[in-house]
Amino acid sequence: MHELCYPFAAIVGQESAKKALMLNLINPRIGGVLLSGEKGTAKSTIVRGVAQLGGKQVVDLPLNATEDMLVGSIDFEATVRNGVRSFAGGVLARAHGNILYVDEINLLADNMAAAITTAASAGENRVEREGISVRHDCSFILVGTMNPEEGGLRPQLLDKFGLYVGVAGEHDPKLRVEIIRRRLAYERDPAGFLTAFQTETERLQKTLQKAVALLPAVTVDENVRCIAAKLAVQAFCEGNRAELLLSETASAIAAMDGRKHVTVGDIKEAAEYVLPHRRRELTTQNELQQQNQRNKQNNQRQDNTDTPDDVPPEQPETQNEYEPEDGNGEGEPADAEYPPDSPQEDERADAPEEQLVAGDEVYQIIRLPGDTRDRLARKGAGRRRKTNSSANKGRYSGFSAEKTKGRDLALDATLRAAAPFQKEREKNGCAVSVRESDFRYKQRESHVGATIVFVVDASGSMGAAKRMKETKEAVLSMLMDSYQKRDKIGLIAFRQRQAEVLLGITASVDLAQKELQALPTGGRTPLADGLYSAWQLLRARRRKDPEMLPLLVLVTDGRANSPLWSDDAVEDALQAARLIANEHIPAIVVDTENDFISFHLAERISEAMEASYFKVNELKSAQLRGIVSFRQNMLGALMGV
Amino acid sequence: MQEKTIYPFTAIVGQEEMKLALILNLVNPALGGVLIRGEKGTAKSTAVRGLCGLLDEVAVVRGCPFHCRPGMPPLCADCASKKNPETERYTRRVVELPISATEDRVVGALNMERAIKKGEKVFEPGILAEANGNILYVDEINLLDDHIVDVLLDSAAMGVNTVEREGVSYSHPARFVLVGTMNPEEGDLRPQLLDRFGLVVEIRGEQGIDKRSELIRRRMDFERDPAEFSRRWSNEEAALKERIRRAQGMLPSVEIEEARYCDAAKIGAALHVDGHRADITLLKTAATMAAFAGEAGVTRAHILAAAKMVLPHRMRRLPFDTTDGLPSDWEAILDA
Repeated sequence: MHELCYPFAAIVGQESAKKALMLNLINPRIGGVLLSGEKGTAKSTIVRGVAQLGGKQVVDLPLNATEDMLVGSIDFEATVRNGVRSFAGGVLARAHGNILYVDEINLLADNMAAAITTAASAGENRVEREGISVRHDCSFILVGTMNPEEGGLRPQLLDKFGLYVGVAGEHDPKLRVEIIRRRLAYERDPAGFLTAFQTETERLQKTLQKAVALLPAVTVDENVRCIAAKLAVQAFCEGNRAELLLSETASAIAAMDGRKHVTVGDIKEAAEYVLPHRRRELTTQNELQQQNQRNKQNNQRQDNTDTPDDVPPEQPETQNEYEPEDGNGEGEPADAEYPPDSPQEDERADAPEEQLVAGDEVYQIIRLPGDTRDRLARKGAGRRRKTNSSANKGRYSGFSAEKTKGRDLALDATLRAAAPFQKEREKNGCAVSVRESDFRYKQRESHVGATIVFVVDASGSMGAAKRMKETKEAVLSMLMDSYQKRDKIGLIAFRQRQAEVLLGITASVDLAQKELQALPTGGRTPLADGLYSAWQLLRARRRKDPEMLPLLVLVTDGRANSPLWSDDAVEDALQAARLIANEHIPAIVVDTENDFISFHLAERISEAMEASYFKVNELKSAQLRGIVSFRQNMLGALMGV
Repeated sequence: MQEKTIYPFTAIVGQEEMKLALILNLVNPALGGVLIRGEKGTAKSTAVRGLCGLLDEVAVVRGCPFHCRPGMPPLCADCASKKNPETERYTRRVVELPISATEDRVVGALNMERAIKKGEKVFEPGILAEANGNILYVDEINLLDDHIVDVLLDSAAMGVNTVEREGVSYSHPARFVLVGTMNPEEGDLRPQLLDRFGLVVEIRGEQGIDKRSELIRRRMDFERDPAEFSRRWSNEEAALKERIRRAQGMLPSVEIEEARYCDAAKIGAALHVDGHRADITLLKTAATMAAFAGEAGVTRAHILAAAKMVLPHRMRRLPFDTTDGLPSDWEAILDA
């Protein structure tokens, strides 16, 4: 029984979103739509409307669902009562043949996203959980919405969406009036409203049916396929999925138009949906080095790396020197004058003078504050802390009679609890009789990694006196520690006029390391902006995963000189630091200032942030660890050392 | 549910190195599996799933949950005690380990129905049991939970799965070819797990317009009519299967000259690869390549080709080692 819902035919505007969804109904191989945009832009209405049009259901996945609710699991209680194993299907089972709708999918936990993408690509759901082993068909149209301001989407998940549509509110006042008028008319008399749009609805349905019937006969000839391939190449898309999706989408467009041959125009129209979220700057492994040398100062502020933009690949404007083989840190360009150090005398600092210094010594760092076991139930994976796990994940470490959300039944403990009463109980043909009072639930334990955001000062003053080298080495050392503890990390650098998120939260320490090594120094010190960006990043992350262990690591000499809100750069930095303290984000300040005359600015910021404060040389633990690079190894080998 | 028609392995466009690494493991299961690292949309999963079309049929002990093959130890306790067990035909397969799997399903656990209905303590085999003698495939292996990785490592090292949990105590053979796929963007693999893989291949999308266009054509043809598409490729599949079978037969007699042992040792030493497992895997891989190519002996070219798959991940001892591939001046190393 379908509930009444606002008819698709009556939705004003939002033509791209509507078309993208209809194309998916025509050709399910397109693989869903990601709707990106602000709240209140009728995203949900469009999805429900198109489902009704295509006779499908919308299966919602709430963000707080657990993994077993998503993939399905054993119905323990029924199993124990009746002695017959029974499977309770999850959201994925219900989504088969329908639309799986995830609102705010960018806030979905990673393990859930992985389960969805696995099912979507295999076309089936495999459940190997809690004594049950089930496979069921699982093909669905994945529709996600996201508000890009809240943080980006895992790249793997982003790629699973065939199409992307940026949704914005209508700006034309006439259309806005029409939207309100129709909405009110619908709410006053839903049935009458539906009738009024019946003819249009039927027309759309007919178009859909015809297109579905026509699709198998639609052909894509060699010439058109090559255009698809070329478009994918020009957009630097990863892998070979983009060109395939271009062809599938263009086929659906042709079918919707009642044509059997895909034209170049169809491919171009398809590209508007297929390429935005796949377009990238050159980022293959080999090109990373060059790519990182590009001058980043013109980059528009981007809080997440997934936001698609149509900016063409930037050309490097400044030739940076990169001297990775320089082992002794004396490779700073000779023209590096002593850069402005005090907040007052920095008028020249705007000049885009940049230099690049590599850090090459990595050491074992001291134990960071907060590395202890905690009692709060948290979920996640990693090794920084041992914690009781709230989701159905982690190692089965014990049991309790108390049932809380997400706990599953511990069979062995339940049977042991039931054992003493077997003589007196009715058994219904089973060997064992189990009652509700015997149920014991698993307690799980998993290691949780921290989510660490490094905020690195890359301003001109940091280029001085090997300060940047020390900074990079300190951050590299901490990254190495993160690698061992399986933390997630983010990297923000501030220099010139603003902060830049070089790397959104990721588990790839390797990428962070590459970004860091390629980071040049130069210009002013927008410290407040750096902290503010970190605050935004961690806050968005916390919404996605409330149980994460955040940690902010600020590496700076504290000499803020580029304000964010007022005209006092230091005061703004302190203000941003207080924001972080208010959000209860644990922080560490690593002070790189080691001059004879000290301004103690980093200390003040540390106090405002309620952070732990270290001088950079205090980070090193007694045991020094050097990394001998592969190249050095090779050289040694070739020279017979 | 009905088995889905799988995209034929031989119909995959390009990606020759990945295909070769997978085939080598079919020829010689002792190589230690393959890890495929690469960007999204590069047919990684398609290739691994496609392997099932190339796997052979073998005789196994009838009803044995571990598919024990008579006369081919290790056998499970049950099969080992039988003198002349009855056999049945069994087609080897690709067993998938979903990353949402729980530990009890991976290693096996107490059989609930028997426990409740009959009050008996019976072991119920898990995925590792199913994987014995087969290919064990983990997609997005870098996202696998640490505690699952631990059990995987244990069995991969020992060839035996030992279960001590929920009051069950059991052990059974678990020898499998481990195949993992991952996108390095999503995080790295634990070094211990990385080390388990005999071969590692790095792949990226095919770049040529011709290949990309051909890829679209084949894939769309397959989607329109999977059965018909598979039929069209059945000859290719059969030919490759036969070639693998022949290579398996040839493998024991592939000759390895003394000089090739030196080559392997020199390369290992020059690249500062820890331990000797790498040297051994290098030679084994080279020999398997020779067998697959139908050649009687291992040449230096085989050694070099094998080194590209065997060594890179073993040189990378530390996370920030900026290893970018192998040196180009091999001859200099080998003739030194």
